[in-house]
Amino acid sequence: MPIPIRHVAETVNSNDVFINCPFDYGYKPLFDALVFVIYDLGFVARCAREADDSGEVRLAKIERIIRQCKYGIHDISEVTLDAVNNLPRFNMPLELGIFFGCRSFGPKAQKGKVSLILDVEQYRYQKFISDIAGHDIRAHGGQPDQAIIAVRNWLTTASRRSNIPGGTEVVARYARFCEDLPRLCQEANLQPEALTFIDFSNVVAGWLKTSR
Amino acid sequence: MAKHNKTVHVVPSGDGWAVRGESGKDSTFSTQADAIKAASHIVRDSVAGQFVVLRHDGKIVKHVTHGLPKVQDPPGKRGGKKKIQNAVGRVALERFNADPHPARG
Repeated sequence: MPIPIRHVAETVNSNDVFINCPFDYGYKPLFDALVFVIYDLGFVARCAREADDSGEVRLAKIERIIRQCKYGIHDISEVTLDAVNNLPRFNMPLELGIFFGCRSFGPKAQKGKVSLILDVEQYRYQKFISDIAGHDIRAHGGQPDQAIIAVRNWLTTASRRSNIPGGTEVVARYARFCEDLPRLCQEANLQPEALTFIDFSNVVAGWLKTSR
Repeated sequence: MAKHNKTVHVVPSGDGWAVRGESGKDSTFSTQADAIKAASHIVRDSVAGQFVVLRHDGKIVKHVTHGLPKVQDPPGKRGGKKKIQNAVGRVALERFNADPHPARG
């Protein structure tokens, strides 16, 4: 049965965090760290990779996920020139714009959306996307631990939740998780280097429930 | 320095159930309900903690947090989720049975 359009437009999950980032191999250490910290803080990581097998058009899928998420993490650190075509990668700024647009022009339920923008350096954005000045922008220096702490500090403030663990505690837990990951994958009959986003999320959630 | 053992495990042990908290010492109970009650007390007495009840096959049958965020389930189909989380539970059981006095960190 189709869901009424009005209902879809107003469904925003206060636990859902949209991750807008590159999906290439070089970014994987940062991506895995982002997924981990989101689950450790009691939220749900969402991204365009969660439904790879669906026939949904990619942009429509991204719009649907953005609509459902209260929070958005947008990493613009890899908005660089493509080595082959020498053209910039615009997917992250595009999705950042959709997220901002959803908050600005969407119905009342969308007005509470909150964003964190991550980059490799604190003020690099001024050289290529200066209009985002005034938003919450943090540098991770390409380091997963710094990304974890940036996300932890931002989500604590943005959600106003009082039971969120400290950044160094989450970083230490993530190090333990990384040590355990090969054994967890072996038991689940999965390849650590070929984990899908959903499989990785399930390994993280299961580990946090049993090993925090 | 952050503490690393925030999880109290309730696992099958012989004919009953064992509970292991941060101290690493086990308490055993004849029923699962009594074991859960004991685990619940340990967690409630801590600043932040959680307890998890695991079945023989690794299935997580109960997970309760106190002063810690509740771990949310990822989106997606239930089938894959169960298979993976059961496997993770089996690894936790394996650790529990292999190490009588865990010291993590």
